Amino acid sequence: MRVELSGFGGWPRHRTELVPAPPPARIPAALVPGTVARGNGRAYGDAAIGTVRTLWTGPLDFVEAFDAQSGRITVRAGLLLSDLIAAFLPRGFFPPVVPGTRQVSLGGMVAADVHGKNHHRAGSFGDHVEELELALPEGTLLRCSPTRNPEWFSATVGGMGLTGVIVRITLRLMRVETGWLSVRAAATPDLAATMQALVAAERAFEYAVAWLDGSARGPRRGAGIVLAGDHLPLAELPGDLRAVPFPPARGGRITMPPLPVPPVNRLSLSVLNRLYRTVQLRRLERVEDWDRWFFPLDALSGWNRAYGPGGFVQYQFAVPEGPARGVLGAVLERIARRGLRSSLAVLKRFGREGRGLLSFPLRGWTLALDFPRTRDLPALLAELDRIVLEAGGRIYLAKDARLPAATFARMEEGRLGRFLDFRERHGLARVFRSHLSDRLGL
Amino acid sequence: MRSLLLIGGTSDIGTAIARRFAREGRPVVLAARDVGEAEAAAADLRHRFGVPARAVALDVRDLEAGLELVHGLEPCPEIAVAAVGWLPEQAAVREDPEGVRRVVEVNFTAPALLLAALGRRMAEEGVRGHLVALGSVAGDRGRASNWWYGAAKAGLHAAMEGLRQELLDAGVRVLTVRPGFVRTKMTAHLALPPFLTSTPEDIARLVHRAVTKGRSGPLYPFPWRLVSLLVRLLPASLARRI
Repeated sequence: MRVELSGFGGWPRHRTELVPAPPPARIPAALVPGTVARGNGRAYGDAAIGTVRTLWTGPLDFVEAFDAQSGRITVRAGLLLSDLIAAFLPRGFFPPVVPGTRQVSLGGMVAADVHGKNHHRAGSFGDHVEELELALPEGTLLRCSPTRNPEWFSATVGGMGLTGVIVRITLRLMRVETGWLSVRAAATPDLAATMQALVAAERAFEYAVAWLDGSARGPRRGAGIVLAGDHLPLAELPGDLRAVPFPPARGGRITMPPLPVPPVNRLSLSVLNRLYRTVQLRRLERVEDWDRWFFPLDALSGWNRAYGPGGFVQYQFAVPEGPARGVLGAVLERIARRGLRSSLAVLKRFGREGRGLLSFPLRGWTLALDFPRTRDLPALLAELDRIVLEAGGRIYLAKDARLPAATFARMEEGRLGRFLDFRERHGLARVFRSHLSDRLGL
Repeated sequence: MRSLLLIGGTSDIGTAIARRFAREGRPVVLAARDVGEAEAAAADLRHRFGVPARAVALDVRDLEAGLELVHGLEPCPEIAVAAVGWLPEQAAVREDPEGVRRVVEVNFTAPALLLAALGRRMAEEGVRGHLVALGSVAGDRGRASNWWYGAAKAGLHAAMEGLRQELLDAGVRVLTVRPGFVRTKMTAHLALPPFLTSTPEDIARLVHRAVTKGRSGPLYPFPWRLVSLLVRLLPASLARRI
C-alpha cells in the first residue's frame, strides 16, 4: 500500500510502500533494497520511513517466553511497551528502562537504544537486552548478544534499524512491589541551581529529571523543576492505595482534535509553562502512579498535532560533562536571543556510554527541546549544531529530522566509520535504507 | 470457565477477539491453517494473560476435518468465533471455478457448517453459549466490485439468522459481526473517513460487550448500522450507481 508517512513530529513526509510484517521466518523474503522497519511511528523524524518499503512490525507482537523466577522475557519486536507493562506490571515486573512514552515498540526501543529518567543508574535500554534476533536478506535469521555475534549486537543497539529487521528481543524485567512511586519536586531559580539539584537528586533517587521553564528570562534562564522518584515498596504504600498496588494506565484518554488554529503558540506557551509549574509545585512530596510519572504526555493522545499541520521539531543533544555548563547556558541564550520559544525543555544527566556503536548516551548531559516548526527555526538549529559539535556532543537520531550530513559526519567522526564499514561488509547498506540514513549518509 | 474456540486463529480480528476474552481469564483454543503461528499466538495468550491456550491445525476448506475437530473438543466451548474470510480480486475469480469454490467455502460454507455443528453441541450439552460469525457489509447488497464475496457473506448472514431462530429455545446466541471498514493500527490514522473505520481492537470490544450482554443478531460498529440500513433501503434503480 503506497502512503505518505511522517514521524511523530509530523514532518518531513515521504511516500513509501507500507507493508505489514509477515511472521519472522518469512520476513527475509519481504526485504527489498530500500527497506526499513517501523514500529509504532514514535521516532520524531524520518528514521522509520523506508526509501522504498516500510515494514510495519505491529503484527509481530507476541510474548514468546517468560520466566517468572528471573523476569527473563522473549518478545517479538513489534510488541508495544504499553502492552508489555499492562500484562506484567500486575505480576510485579517492570521494564528496567522506559522512555517518555509507552506508545513505542520494543524493537524501536532497541534500535534507538532509548534512555529514561534512570539513565544515571541503569544505563540505556540496550544495557538490559540479553539477546536479539535479526531478519536479514538471503533468508537468514541471525541471533546476537554481547557474547554471540557481538559485532552484530553492538551495531544493532542504537543502529536505527539499519542492520536488519529486529524480530525478537530477550531482556530481563525488574521486580517492583507496587506500581507507585514516591516523587519529590523542587523548584530551582537558575541553570546552575537546576544542574546542581539534578546531580544531588541522582545520588539519592533512582529516577531524576529536570523540566526547564521556557518562559524564564534573563538571570532566571534555566530555572525549572527537578523531579525525582523511587519505586514505592508495598510496606510504604499509603493505606488508601493498598487496595490497588498495581494501578492500570489512565483510561479515558483525551484525543487532540484537529484544530483550525494550533493551540501551541507564543501566548499559550507562557500560560502552559506557568500552569505546569503550578501543578508540579502544588505538592512537593507525593505518591504518583507509574503512568503519570513515566509517561505524563500519553494522557493526551495525538498531542503532537497541537502544533498544527506544520508539525514540530524536537532537538535533543548530549554533551560531555566538561563543557556541559557552558553549552547549556549558550544554547538557552541563543534561543532567547532569536526570540524563539521552546515549548518543552527536558534536562537530564547521563551516566555512561551506551553499548551500541551509535548509541546516543555519553557521559554528560542531555537536553531535549521541542520547537514549533517556524521560518526562523532552521537558522537557530544550525547555530545549536555548531555549539554541540564544538563541545564534542552529538544529536539523538530518534528525534532528528533535519541534521545536515556534513555536521553529522563531524559529530560522529570517531564512531561513524566502523558503523558504515559494518554495513558495507555485510551487504546491509543496499537493503536497509531509511530517509534518515540517506539524509545523513549512514 | 469454558473456553473460546477461534476458527481462523491467526487473523487480525480473531487475535484481537481472543485477547479481549483471555484478558478476563477465559481459556482459548486457536484453530488455524498455519499451526506454527497459531501456537505462537497461543503461547502469547498464556504468557500475557496466564490462561490455558492451545493451537490446533485446521484448514477450514477441509469440512470433514473441521467437523471432526468441533465434535472432538472437550469440553464443549462456550464461545465459538469464526473469523475466517477471503476477499479476492473480483476479476480474478469471476469465472474461475476453483476461485469461486474457495470464496464460497471460506466465506460461507465452512463458517456456517462449523458454527451450526457447534450450536448443536451446545444445545445438546446444555451450554448456553455464543456463536459469532464474521459477516460483512458487502453482504448487504451486491456490488460490481466484489459480488462473489458479497454473495458468500450474504449467504452466511442468512444461515446465521436461521441458526439463531433454530437455537433460540436452547439459549444459544448467534451474532453476525459486520465490521465495515477495518484498518489495522498501521493505517488507521491514514484512513478517511476515520469515523467509518474501526481497528480489530474496536471490533473485539464490540463483540465482547455483545457476548457479555447476551445479545443476538447482526452487530455493527457505531455508524454502520445506519449506513447498512440506507444501503439496503436504496431502490435498485439507484443502487446500480454506487
